[in-house]
Amino acid sequence: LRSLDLTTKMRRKAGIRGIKAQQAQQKAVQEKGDELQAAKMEEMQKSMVKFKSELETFAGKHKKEINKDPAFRAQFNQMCMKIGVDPLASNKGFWSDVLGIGDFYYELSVQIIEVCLKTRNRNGGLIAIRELLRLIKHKRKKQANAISVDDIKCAIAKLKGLGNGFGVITIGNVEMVKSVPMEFNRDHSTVLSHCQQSACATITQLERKTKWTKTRIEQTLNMMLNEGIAWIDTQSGSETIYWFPSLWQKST
Amino acid sequence: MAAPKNGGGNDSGIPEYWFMPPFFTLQVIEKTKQTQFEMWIDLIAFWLKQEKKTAIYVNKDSQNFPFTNKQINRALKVDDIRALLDFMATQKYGSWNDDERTIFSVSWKSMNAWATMIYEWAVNQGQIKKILTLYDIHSGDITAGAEFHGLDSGLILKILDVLEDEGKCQVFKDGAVVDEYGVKFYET
Repeated sequence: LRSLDLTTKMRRKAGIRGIKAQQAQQKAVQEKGDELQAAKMEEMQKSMVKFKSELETFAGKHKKEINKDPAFRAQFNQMCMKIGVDPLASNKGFWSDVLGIGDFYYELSVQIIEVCLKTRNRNGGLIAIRELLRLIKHKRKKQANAISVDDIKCAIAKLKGLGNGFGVITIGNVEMVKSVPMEFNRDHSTVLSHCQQSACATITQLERKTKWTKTRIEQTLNMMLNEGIAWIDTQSGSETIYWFPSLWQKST
Repeated sequence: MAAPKNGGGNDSGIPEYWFMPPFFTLQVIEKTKQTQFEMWIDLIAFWLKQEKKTAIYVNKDSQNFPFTNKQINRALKVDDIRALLDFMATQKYGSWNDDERTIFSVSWKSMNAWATMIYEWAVNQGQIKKILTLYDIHSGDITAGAEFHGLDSGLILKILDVLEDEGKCQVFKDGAVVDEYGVKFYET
């Protein structure tokens, strides 16, 4: 029995030694790996710094284009995003001073807020992004710099960070900007997506399209009426029509 | 004023929402109705100013622009027009001439807005403590170019009443000729 004990003890010792050796090996590998990793990171950072300075040079050279051409600007923004540079991050420093890009988006944000506030009561705080674009362009008409839907989205991404209800939501094929913290659930979205083209619907039409119960449709519509995103129209001759000002556009 | 043939493009001044069908149904949600009334007031103000109208004849005017939009086959019901004008009265844009509520004397700016405008003109033009006639205010050379130039004397009198209540002016109603009433503005 004592000999068994000895064997076991020796096996155990070997086992422990083995584990310790293993551990030592693992540590060495890890350290080497970290070393490599660190070297890689340093290399990457060096090239990032290089890239960033090249980007800055590029930006400086093409400042005019960036400010005037929405498509060019969108591409530039994408490039910046890829390397983790945020031209809108601060109002100070290179990006704002040389490019004036901080100012551009700041100004645009203010205009977005102004238009949303002005139309909020009539559309319930929901507006199609193209309509927002149209109204902002109208506001800016004297200014030289053209703006695009992308610019608006960029600005709103910043506004979102302020936590005041701003955001872009997609209803079917329509991108919309909401500017109030509304209780927007899936049933709301579904109803709106069915009304993309016409900007309106009757209960019967919605019954057909959604296959929901009349109660569910009525509840959803009532919520939307209460939130101010739906208006009623009782002059169609038959059923009440529910209209969504945020989807409505004057037909030419 | 006939509805514009171009359907009310951006330049015609007619707001786009005049082409939105639910605009002509009195909304049941209170907040939305408030908004709707405000939109109607903007539109009516635009119409009154364009046409230089000083009164709305409910039965006659209900059939035309802006209360009826034939292009989209919608019209604000007469009862709803009355509710709207009642609201405009509370906002001091005008008042009913009759108990039956068929004629509404009205202006495209509220009395308070006019009062502020006239008083500011008086201050800016150094007219404080000077004596003017009512005629001077609505038709004198000194007010040429001002938005209130050309308003009728009855309306000017009502506006000056507002200022009088605020201690900003005094109207001397001597004599039979309204246009010859004296008006003196005070600094407050």
